Amino acid sequence: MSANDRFRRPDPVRAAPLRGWSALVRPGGVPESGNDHSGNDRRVSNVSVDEGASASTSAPDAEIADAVATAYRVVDRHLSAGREAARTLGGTSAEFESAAHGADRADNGGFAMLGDGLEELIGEAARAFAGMMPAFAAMMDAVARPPYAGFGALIGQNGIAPSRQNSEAVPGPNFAFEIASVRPVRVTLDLTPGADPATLATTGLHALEAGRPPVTEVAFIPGGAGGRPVLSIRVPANAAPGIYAGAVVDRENGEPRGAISLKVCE
Amino acid sequence: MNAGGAIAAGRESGRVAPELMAEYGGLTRAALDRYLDRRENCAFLRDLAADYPRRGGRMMRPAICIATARAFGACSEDAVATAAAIELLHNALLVHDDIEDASLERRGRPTLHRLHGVPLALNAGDALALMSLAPLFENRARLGTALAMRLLEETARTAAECADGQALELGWRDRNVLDLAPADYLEMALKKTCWLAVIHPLRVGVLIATRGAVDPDAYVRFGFLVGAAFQIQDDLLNLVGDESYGKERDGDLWEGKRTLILIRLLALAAEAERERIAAVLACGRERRTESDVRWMRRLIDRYGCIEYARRVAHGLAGAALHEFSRHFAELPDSRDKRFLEELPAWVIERA
Repeated sequence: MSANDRFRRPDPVRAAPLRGWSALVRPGGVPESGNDHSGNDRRVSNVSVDEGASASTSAPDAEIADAVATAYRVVDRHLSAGREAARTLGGTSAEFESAAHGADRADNGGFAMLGDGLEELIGEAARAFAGMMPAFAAMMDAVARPPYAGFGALIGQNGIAPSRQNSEAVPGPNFAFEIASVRPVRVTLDLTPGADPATLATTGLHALEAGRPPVTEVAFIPGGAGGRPVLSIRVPANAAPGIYAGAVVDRENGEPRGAISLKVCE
Repeated sequence: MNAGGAIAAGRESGRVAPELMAEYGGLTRAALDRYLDRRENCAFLRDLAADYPRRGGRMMRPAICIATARAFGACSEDAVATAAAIELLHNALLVHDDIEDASLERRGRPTLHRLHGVPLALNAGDALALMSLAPLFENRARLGTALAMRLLEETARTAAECADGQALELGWRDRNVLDLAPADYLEMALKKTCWLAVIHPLRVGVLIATRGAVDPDAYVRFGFLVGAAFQIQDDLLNLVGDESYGKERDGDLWEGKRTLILIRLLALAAEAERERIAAVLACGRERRTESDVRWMRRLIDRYGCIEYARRVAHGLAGAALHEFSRHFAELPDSRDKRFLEELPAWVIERA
């Protein structure tokens, strides 16, 4: 071939993408993550259902793509209906999120089952619901865990789990948590209804076991990131595993406003 | 394949699903025993209520609940009561479903109503359903009242979805509805099967681990796609499964269930065949004959309905993997995360 001759590549084996679902998932197994021998990504990804359904596939593949697209339509319609119902009802879950008082939590009596236990069970259900509906307090649980890379919407870079995000539905302050700890910890903040985050104070968290030093770097920050109040706790590196707890009071008048519980895990 | 064989095979293939289901299933069974044994022996009830839960089963639902909670950072103990509640509700619904479907076998043994009659079986099913509330209330001590109530609310929604789905399936049979499309089937499966089998365990697992900080709706698609593939595989096993399947062979045809396979058959059958299928389905199970069922079974093979359903299940499993890559990929690597990733393959490979 002389230098002036035009190079011509052979015709490609195929001229359309392989988008049929059955080509991605083979009978007898789902493709593993990673690359196959030809260097192609074998994981099912980056293919929208609409693309898959409209691709120029053989008839059986088109049927499968159509079935998968139908599945997406069914579940998305279901989700839309659920969201609409939730909007109409005003978010009943928010009511359940409220009013987590210590007395409720301390009760772990269990329930007798079957026969005569059922009355107690139903009664317990009725009491639990009745106790919740009128009271609106802000209750925030947080689990501080090792950081989740790339999971920033949920867990901050320092491994902080913020409180619930549905601030529209939960009356009262919606706290964020800032927790620094080398060990896994679990923090529970219970506040009475109407507690003003601007005036909350605590003297620290004291270990249930005698002789252990308290966790003193505990602070309420009224206007944290995004304007939300923040509960900040720095757990000393040498803090022994165990339960630490402390009262929350209103610094203006000394009235009790709730409690903080900190569990330092092994 | 028994549980030990499945675990050994799983180890050989590098899969964690069999081992993890056995492990979390064991945790859940221990919790179940606390509720099943709690009462003094009540004649005609306690043994009946404990029958299905103690027949075994793969414990997929509680395993998904615990694995999801752990994948998101919780410990097993946070989720095991909720997992037990799921399994109790599941068994309660099995008792009722078996009565409604006039099923003959469950987990390799005669159904509860065949052993004890419908009234006692129905009562045992009711007791199991109510019993499932107990662990959810006891969640208060470990998870706090707010989260415990949220989990109860999730359970109430799941029960409603199951009832909706079961009503659809029963209504189709009762009114001999034939004009059904795959979308109808998938909607029924979403409600009847997927919600309790996969979506609910995922949702409560996420809620437990994140204390409600994450919207569990994000995981519904994955759960639905896995659950739908699971249901289709279940329908397939009913026609082609071996003895380990544990239910009556061709039971869905005897019961006239509107499976994806039957819907496909109705769509492809010639006019005369469709009329005969309609006539067979119109009569109750007691009047359906062995030759009717065999004839429909042959038609299913002739029109390739088995292969179609299998391919749809594979497609749904592939879509589930796609959803997994979108919503779970950023979780830290763990055995629990790998289990969730393996679920789409597991549900279509199980025998």
